[in-house]
Amino acid sequence: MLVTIIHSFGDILTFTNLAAIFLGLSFGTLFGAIPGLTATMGIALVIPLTYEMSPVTAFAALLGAYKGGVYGGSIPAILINTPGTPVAAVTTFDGYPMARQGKAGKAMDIALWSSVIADFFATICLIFFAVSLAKISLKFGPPEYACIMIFALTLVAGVSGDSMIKGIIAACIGFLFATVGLDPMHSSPRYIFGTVSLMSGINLMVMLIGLFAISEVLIQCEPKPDDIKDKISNLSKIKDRATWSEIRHCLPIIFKGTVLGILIGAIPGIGPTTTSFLNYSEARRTSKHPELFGKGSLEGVAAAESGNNATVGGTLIPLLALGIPGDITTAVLLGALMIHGLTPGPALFITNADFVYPIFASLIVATLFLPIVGKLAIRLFSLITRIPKNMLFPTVAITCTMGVYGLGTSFTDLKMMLFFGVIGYILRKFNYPLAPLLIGFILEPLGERAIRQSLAISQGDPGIFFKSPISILFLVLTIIAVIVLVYINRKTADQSKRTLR
Amino acid sequence: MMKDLNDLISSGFFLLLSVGLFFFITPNFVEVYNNMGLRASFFPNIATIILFIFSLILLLNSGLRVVKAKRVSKDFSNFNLKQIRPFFMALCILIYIILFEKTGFLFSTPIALIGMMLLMGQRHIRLLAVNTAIVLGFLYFVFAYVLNLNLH
Repeated sequence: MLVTIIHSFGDILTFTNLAAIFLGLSFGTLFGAIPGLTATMGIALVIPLTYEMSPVTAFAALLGAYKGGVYGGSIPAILINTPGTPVAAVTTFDGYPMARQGKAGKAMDIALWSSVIADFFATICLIFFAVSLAKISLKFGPPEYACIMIFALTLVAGVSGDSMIKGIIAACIGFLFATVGLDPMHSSPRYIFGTVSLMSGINLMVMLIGLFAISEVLIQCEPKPDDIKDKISNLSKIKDRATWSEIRHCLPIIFKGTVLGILIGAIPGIGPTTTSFLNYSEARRTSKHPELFGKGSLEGVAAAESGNNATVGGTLIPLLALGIPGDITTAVLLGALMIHGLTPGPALFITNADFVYPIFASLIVATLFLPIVGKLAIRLFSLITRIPKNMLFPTVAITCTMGVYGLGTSFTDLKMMLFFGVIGYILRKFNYPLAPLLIGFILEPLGERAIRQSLAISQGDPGIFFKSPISILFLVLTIIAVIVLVYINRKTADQSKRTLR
Repeated sequence: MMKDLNDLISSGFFLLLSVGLFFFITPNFVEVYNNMGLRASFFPNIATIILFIFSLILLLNSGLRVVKAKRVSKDFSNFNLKQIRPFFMALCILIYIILFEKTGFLFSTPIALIGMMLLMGQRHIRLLAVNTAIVLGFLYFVFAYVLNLNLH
């Protein structure tokens, strides 16, 4: 296989293919960096341009756009507290606080290198273990999903900041917002108040932009005392780069995020957002300085970005090896494969080896191009920091409004965005953390569907959650996580008491 | 002191919200009865109960701290109009959404953008004009040409 891949590099190293990868990456990064425009949208827009291309060139461009889109979301997440894509939501937790401390350049560097390293190893795993990993992923059914979601919920404690009570309240609010719409099993309407447009629920991107971007615009409108003005002017110190020792310090977290990203990405239906949440939680749990998470930790940025970028390689595993799309983006890629006359699945590796191995080679080339495109994007978007804030934030408000309009050309979505903006502003003023709200909102639909499906399968017997070794493993991990979190919180409380004395 | 008062107000609001949801809104869900799983109201009720419990804890904690404190006073003498600027910004965004719906992108965007920049204190006419032109041109190109959206 190794020889075949080396030979396929010869196919991919042509001007047309390299240009397709570079342009796909650039287009994806641009789309990822504009709030509201997602990687999926970028890929969907590239598809019509690939009709006349060979399948290999077409997929080189499409996968470039996918990688660029996932990475690009981190840039506005760090610079203006607005995740460009939902997967970059976790990057805001530490990226933006770093930018406020004058370390935006460092944060963007770490985000880029975490993305590159995670992406590279995920691609290697995809090449060598695609078929065997895909077979393992098929062992995950609703009970296993449910246990993963229960495990992921322990993250609420990790991102609650100073008050765990407020974090849990915020998570409950997010949980309740996620139940708006038709219920996933019987389609009973919940909290729609007779509004037809609420039947499909609340769009994640609308909520994200409202909660993070619009609330930030409202916060920035407040008259600021001088010390805070100084912090904002720190944003312009963008040339501060991450050193090799800082990158090396984050390497264990990046590798852990890569493994988690590949494993979870290979399970259809979970997606990169949950992966980055899980990896962030895991990084905080094992960090020597968990108290810095949420306040501007380099490790936090590395965990978020490595987790979501490794998922790119992970989600391609079930797509190529089994023909199962893990999320909406890979569903679009599946459509593109079919447009080009290819049927994904185990047979693809035998009947279309001349397509599969050059695609693997193109993924490696795209990973090697990512630092170049990333550095260019950082330079371009860093210009944002030179814009006076009384011009920047109105522009952000207008761009976000248009981004939300672009999602579904719905004016109800725009009103929802403003609603969440005001909610986010009020919660921030009352010192409620927004991250648990987001976690509740993202995990509720996945968890509810998995738990209800499991109970439907077992005729209402909860014993189904204790039957498979995978479920038991995640339940044990949940118990360990809770014990560790209680220990960390007690330790932090003791430390702060000692400091007060 | 101010933090405790904020906690008291917010926890009181969430307590009322959870009671309202649990007793008045969630019971009105259309339920499909079966013996194979959970009903549509199960997860909203769980979230509401947890919300109630933790809001009550926060209310009691912050309430006790407020009662123990010697005085509750707030100085309103330094109030100025700039402090309610976020309210006006939210209003500007709402007006923009309504104008966009009624009149389209090209008419509403320059008005809203200039209005917001003026609200945030930008008074330099050349900067106002240049930024408006760049933002309008870029967004129109991306959304009307690349994404092929109808902007009226």
